[in-house]
Amino acid sequence: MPRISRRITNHLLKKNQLLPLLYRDNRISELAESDLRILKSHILQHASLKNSPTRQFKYLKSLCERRARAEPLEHIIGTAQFYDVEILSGRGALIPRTETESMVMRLCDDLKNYHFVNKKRRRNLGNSFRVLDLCTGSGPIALLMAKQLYELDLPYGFRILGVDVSESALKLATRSLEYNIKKGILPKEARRDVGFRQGDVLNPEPSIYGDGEDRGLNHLGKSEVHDEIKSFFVNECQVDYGPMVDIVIANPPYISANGYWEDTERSVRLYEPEIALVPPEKRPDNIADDVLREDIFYPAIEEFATYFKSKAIIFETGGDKQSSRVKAMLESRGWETGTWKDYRGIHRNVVGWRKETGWNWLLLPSKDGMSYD
Amino acid sequence: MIRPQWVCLHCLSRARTATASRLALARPALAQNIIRRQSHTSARVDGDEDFFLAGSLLKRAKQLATEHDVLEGQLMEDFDTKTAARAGHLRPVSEALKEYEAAVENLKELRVLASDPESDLSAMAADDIPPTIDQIRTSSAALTASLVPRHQFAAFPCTIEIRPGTGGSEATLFANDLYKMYTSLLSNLRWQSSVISYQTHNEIGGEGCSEAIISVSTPESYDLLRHEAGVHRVQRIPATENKGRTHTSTASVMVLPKLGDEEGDFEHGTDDDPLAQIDMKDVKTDVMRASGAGGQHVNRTESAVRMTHIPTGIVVAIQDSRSQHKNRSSALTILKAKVAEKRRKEKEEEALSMRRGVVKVGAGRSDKIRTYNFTQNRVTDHRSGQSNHDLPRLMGGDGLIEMIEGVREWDKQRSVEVMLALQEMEDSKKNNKK
Repeated sequence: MPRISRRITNHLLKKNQLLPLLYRDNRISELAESDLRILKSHILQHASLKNSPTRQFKYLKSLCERRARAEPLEHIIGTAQFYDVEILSGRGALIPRTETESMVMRLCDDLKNYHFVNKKRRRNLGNSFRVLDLCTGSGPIALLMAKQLYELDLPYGFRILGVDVSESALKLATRSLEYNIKKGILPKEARRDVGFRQGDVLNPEPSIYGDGEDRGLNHLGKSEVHDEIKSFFVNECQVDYGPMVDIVIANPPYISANGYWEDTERSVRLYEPEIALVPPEKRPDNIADDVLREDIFYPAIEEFATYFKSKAIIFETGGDKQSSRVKAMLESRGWETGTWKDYRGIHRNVVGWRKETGWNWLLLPSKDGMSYD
Repeated sequence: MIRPQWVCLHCLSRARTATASRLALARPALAQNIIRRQSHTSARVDGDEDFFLAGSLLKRAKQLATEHDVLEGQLMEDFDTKTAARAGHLRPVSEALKEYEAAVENLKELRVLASDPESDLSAMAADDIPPTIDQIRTSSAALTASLVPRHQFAAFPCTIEIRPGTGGSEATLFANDLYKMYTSLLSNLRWQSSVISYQTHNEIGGEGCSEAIISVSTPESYDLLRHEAGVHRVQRIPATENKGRTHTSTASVMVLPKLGDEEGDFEHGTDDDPLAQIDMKDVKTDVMRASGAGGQHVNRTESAVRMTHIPTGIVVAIQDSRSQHKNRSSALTILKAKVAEKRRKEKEEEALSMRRGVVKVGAGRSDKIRTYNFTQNRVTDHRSGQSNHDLPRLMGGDGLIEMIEGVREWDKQRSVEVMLALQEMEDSKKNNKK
């Protein structure tokens, strides 16, 4: 870490004596100030410290020191604010990113303004609206989508399933769900409508019901993950008539092995699990050899989307180049595709939909200012 | 000055009856027929026909009708709200033109039939000619009316304000006369009105009025009464004059639309507020952030958002929440509210400046719109050029409506001319480019 010049330190000290600590990881004075503001308001919520400014300051200083050691703000506070919902943060899972928040909000806004505008579509053929969130981590996508879909008040409701390989991440996700219900952000029905299951997307374990032979959507036995997904959604819909899942959404690990050392921040490497960032080295058998290591999750997730006859698929990617690779992969498998930009102007999301669904509204600019392109 | 070339003074003064104008208010379509018959157009298509439409008008109408057809064709293929709205505006023109052309065609055929002495039908055809001419008159009147763009506040009720101008106490006496004239006009028309303010004081020779405000609650009243706004000049020997000299004084009349009643039931600045609608293309969003690859690579809290509405220059900076998107949406909400507030203020200012613009401050005797000459028992409107030679009756409210109608017709004609001039300008520009 390069040392901070005396000039900057003096400048920061004039504003607040704790700012140099926060500057160490942020390296932008505005971001350091914003961190300080957030920490201060966090301190004020501690009732036990209310009457003692000295103890308040001591506690604040200790938090700033933790931040100076590159610990993410969300870990210090304990939760991440993910639009409406709060996600518990911990070492077991990735902290939800703003880009992911944008993706979910744009999708929900577009669903609200373009898809669920007429009664027929709201009925969804008498089925609940089903969302499959693969590589869910601590469950931010699932929980925020649940919050947004409750506001739409669909006649047949909705169901969201989050799947992740990491036990500790899933624990956080389940606890986050309870936390939001307790705080009144999500209704009690969320326990029924939102589910989290453990499962490996890349190497699904064989099903306990069969020998891996696939007998269609109505039967268990393809693999353990497929069984979990089927048993979560199946009593909700008549799969004979259509898809079992309406949308597959995923923010899988997408950083390359080199990128992990070159592009990620120290704070990310120190405090966030590598498994949530970099795809595993061991490549599954059904993924072609020419697929780059950082891309291997995308074709695997696409296979899930195709298997469950999903109408649309939405990915977060690492940037422009990865987006174009994923887009080409989806196109070669018969999807209509497009990309969304994030607030940095990078092509962050790849969206795909089946032509017969007519879901090209996915590419329309969002009405409520949730899109950047 | 634009010469009211089409007005046939003879016709106007002779034939405009009170019945026709009353009808005009009750059933415009029917009455236009009567009125139209009495006004001669100067630019005629046919030498002996006074009921055909001016060639330039017809050209404009045809252009608009063609545009309408094109738009309708587009709508058949692909529906678009803007196109539909434009087509909706043009529909009356297209319909009126079709009616007019059908009637003209009809008349031609009838004339051919009637001029053929050998045909059995000639007598019948000759009988049919007068009703067809009537039909042409009706449709051409409708066509002219549809071509003139309506005043943007035409549908609103209004207030009339009368104040004395130059001329001292004689002016206050005249203002009082005007007040009486308008109250009797309103009662003649059976329009609902109420006096908001009426301040009088005794002068030598009668009661003077220093301010009178009448509120007219009948919708569309602004469309007619707006023609009354301006400086009214009086020429008479005042009661205060002891040497018998004729004085010239003025009173100013302001007519303002009563806006604001149309606002629906919504909270200001919310999504339902029509003034709060902004185009996201006009909004620039800045996020305080570090450079880099973003996404999973970075876990800094970059939540502060600043939004700028470029057309109005309003800036909103929000950093309340740790969620960037939460800040974004609250910034947008506040931005919308601020833009709505600014727009509302501008609207009010516009209304205020309109109020000021109606009458120039210290308007002199020469900026008059109408002269009331008591010594000659004459009222002349300087815009339409009409004169009425029964001043006492007019001051009692009778015959005033004919005068206003005359001004309205003049105004309509003038707007048609402006419309045509603009059209010609555009055409010549296009030709120059070619």
